[in-house]
Amino acid sequence: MDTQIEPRTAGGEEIHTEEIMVNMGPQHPSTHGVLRAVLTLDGERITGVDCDIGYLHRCFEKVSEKLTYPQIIPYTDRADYLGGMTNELAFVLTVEQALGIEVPRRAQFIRVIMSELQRIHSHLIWFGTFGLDLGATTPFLYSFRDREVISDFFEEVSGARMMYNYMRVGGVRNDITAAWVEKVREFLRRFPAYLQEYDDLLTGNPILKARTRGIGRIDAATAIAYGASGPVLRASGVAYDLRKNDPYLVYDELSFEVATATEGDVLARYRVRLKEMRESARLVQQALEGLPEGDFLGKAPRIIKLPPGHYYGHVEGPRGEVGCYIVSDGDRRPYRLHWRAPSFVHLQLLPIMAKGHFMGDMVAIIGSIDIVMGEVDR
Amino acid sequence: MSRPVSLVPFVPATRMQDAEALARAARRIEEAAARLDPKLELQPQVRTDGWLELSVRRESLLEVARMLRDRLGYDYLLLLTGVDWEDKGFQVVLHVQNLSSGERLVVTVNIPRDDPRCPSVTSIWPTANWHEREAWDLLGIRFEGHPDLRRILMKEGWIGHPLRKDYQDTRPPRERLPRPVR
Repeated sequence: MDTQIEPRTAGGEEIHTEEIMVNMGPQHPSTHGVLRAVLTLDGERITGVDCDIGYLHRCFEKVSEKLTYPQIIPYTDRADYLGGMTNELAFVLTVEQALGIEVPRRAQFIRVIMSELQRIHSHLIWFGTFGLDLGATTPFLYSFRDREVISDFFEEVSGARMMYNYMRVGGVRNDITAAWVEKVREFLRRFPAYLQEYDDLLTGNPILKARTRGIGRIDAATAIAYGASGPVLRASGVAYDLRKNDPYLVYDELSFEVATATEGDVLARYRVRLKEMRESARLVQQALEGLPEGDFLGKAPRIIKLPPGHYYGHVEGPRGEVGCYIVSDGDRRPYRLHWRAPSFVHLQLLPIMAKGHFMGDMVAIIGSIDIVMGEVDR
Repeated sequence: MSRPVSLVPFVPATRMQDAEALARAARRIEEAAARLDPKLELQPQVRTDGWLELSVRRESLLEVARMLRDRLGYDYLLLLTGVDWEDKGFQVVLHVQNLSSGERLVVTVNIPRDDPRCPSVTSIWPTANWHEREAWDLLGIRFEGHPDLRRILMKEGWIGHPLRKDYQDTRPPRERLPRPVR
């Protein structure tokens, strides 16, 4: 309670006012999981936010110290459960880089396709739930209709709709078939029309604009100082995207634009994510066209032991920079594994974004960061 | 909507595995450190995965971190974490990056096991706040000067720091209920 409240008067007499504390979550539907935010309110205005996290802590890092490298891959799915493919990718890329393994070109293209489909998949869930947070029920139905199609694609190649366990050290687990490629092509043909639908349903909506413009604003300097990445950073005017700035796989051969906005508010983040879906669809299209023949799984040692040392690998996940830090002592198991989760970093920005806004805006702000609590708590 | 303008110039692809770029970045750090305090004797090494690694003494972490941000432009802290090396003590590891040039650097600080204190860098990179809270919570490294060093993932009142290699669960074993008879 460090902020001073202006004294209020009624009938010439000063009345007693005080800040109140309100618990938001952990069971609040708009906190996307189990985030508990303790709000300090001056009337309807937010003066402070204290995030209480850890409800979903599953000791991922501790458990990893007891597992061999291939055994960790399914665990990474569960960190950010809406970005399984990119999480697995961050992990296997780090291991491959440590081992110096060359990955077949076909596998690299398949990985790009999966990462970008995953990005669309994740952004569609965000789009639907963000609309729900603001009281727009219909977009949710549309975005989940399309997200189901991508889930089916993933199910066909990996057998699972969320926890894929698809990436392997040296490639991917299953090859993609010509029939699968044709289905994805068909989806991509329809996708621009879907995006138009989303625009018609929500983007032009005056209520959406009124509730998001100028809300939860952060400038570029704050975003950088707080380590923001992904759409949160790009919506503040910093065109930083690992696919361009530190290209992995075959991203440097594909053409795409980095979606940016300068306003740094909720609406800017909304726009950046919508644009990213469009660019991701373009990337999938190009990767499907350039898909070479060949192996989908290269040669990797049967027993994977990393040479002693420290390794850091990162990829651009749907939410931002997913980083994997592995310390090896030469054993089959990592000596230490640390996961850089973008949601964990972004959640620190919440008090800065929310300060001074109405409590009702809190829902829009949380929605615009696109947090996944599985990743925050690991 | 007009085309958004990038506030920070777009960075071309930077391959930090490039030996020449690494040597250049290392030289810049050495020069800046020599100007700051010749006694620091900072010698960046190339780590196994191609990142530059800079080992810093605990006492000089704050001044080196400030130099890295203000003089050399390492404005972006990717992650801060700790490693428990058992007898050899703890190691605090910071991955920092210069967003506009793409230079990347690892800063490591070795701290003794019986005195796990480390200066907090929250005043330099505010994002370190939660990373340091996590390292305190899970590894028991006490960050001095941290504005709010509470547990973050484990609940309040938890005994011990679970990511330590010698961590023992102090909770009483859970009573197993008999299986219900159907």
